[in-house]
Amino acid sequence: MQILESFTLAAPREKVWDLLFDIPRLSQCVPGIESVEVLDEKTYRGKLVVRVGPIKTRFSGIVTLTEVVPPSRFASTVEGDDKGNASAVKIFFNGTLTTVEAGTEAAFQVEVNLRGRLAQFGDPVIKATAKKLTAEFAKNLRAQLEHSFP
Amino acid sequence: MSIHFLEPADISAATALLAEYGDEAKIIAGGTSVVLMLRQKLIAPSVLVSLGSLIGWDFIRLDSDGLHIGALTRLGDAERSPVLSQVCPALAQAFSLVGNVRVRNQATLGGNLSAADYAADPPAMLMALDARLRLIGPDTAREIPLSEFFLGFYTTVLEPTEIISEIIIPPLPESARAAYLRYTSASAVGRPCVAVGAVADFDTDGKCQDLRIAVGAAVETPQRLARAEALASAQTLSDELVAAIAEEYAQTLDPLSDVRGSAWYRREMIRVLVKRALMEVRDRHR
Repeated sequence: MQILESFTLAAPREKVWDLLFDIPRLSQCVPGIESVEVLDEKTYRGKLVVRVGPIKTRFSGIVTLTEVVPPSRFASTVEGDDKGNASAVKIFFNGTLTTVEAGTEAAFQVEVNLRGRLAQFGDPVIKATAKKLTAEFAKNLRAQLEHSFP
Repeated sequence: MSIHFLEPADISAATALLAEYGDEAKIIAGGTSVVLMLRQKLIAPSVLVSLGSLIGWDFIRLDSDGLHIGALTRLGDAERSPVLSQVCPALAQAFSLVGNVRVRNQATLGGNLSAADYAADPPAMLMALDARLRLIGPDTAREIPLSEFFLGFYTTVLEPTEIISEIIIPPLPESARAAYLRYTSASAVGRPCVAVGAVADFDTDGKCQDLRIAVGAAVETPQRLARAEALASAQTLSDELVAAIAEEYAQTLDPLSDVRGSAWYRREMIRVLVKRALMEVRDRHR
C-alpha cells in the first residue's frame, strides 16, 4: 500500500534537513517513539508505539538509510515487528525537501507492507493512522524549528 | 499472562476501576468485540472491567423526551422489543441485521457504539434519528449527540474512564417515517459495505418538513450532509429531487476502499441506497 503525504514548514531547507538528521531532536518529534539507538551512520534501531482505538502496538525495528542527498532527498527502509500480536512491517520511505515560497515543502512517498494480525484492519485504517501521525509529526517539527529560531 | 476479571456492582464502581487501572484496563460488556481482540492478542489488558454484573442498564423505556435504551441492552432484545418496534421499526431493522442471532443475543448497544467499527449497522440509523448518548465518568456525567461521538476508525470521544450509560432517541412526530437500508457486497449476513439511515417528516400536503440521512460503513465515521438534506425542505420528494439528493451524497462523501468494496464502487452504491431510502420514506404507509 502506498501513502503520499506532504506538509510545509516555515524554515529554510537546510534547517529542516539538519533537524531531520539530528537524531536526538528528531526523535522528540516522531509521535510514539520510545527509543532510538544509532548503530552506525546509516543504521538505527528504534521502538515505536502506534495506537489505533483500543489497540496499542509496539514495533521494534531497524531503519536503514539507503540514499542521502543533502539537503533535498533521502530514502530508507524500515523493518520491524511486534511479536505480541504477531505482526511485521516493511516500509520503503522516500522523502524530498523542496524550497517553496512559504519555506520548505516536505513530501514523502511510503510503501507500507504490513503482515500478520494487524493487517486485517486494512488499508483505510492504516492510511488514516498515517495521516494522523504525519500531522502530529509536522506539528512537532514546527515546534522544534521555532525553538531554533527564537 | 493472567487477566484479572473484575465485576463492579454499579456504574460508579466501574468508572472508579477504570480510573484506578488506567491503560491496563479494558471494559467488557457483551464481549463480542473484546474477546476477538483478546484471542488475537491485539489487546493485552491486565484487567478486564466487566459490566455484566451491573443491574438496571438494559432497559428500553418510552418517556416524554423520547425512547431511552440502556447501554447494556442486547441488540437482540432491542430488535425484539415491542416498544422499540412501535416507535421506530427501521431501528429494530438495523439492529436485526448485525452479525448473526448469537452475536445479537450477546452484543450490547453501548458496546457496539463504543467499539466504533465503521462497518456497523446501528450508527447510521441512530444518527439519522438524532440519537444522543449519556456518558458517565468517575465524577462526570454528560450528554452528547451521536454525531459528535465518533472521531475516526475505532476512536470515539469517550475518555478512558467514561462509559456510555444510555442512548436517547428524541420523539418522532406521528407523521414521520424512517427507513434503514444496507448493502452487503460479500454475503447477505456480512458486514455492510454501505449503510443508510433516513428519517423524513411530511406536512399534510405531503411536503417534506424535515429530512435526515446518515450514511455509514462506506466512510470512516457516519456522515450527514446538511446541504443535501436542505434540498428537500418544504418540497415534494419528486423522483428528480430524490436523484439530486442522492447525487449530492455520492459526490460529496469520500468513501473508503476495503475488502467490501472500492471507493468508486461505494460511491455508486451510496447513490443507489440513498435514493432507495428516500423513496421508501416517501412511498411507504401511504
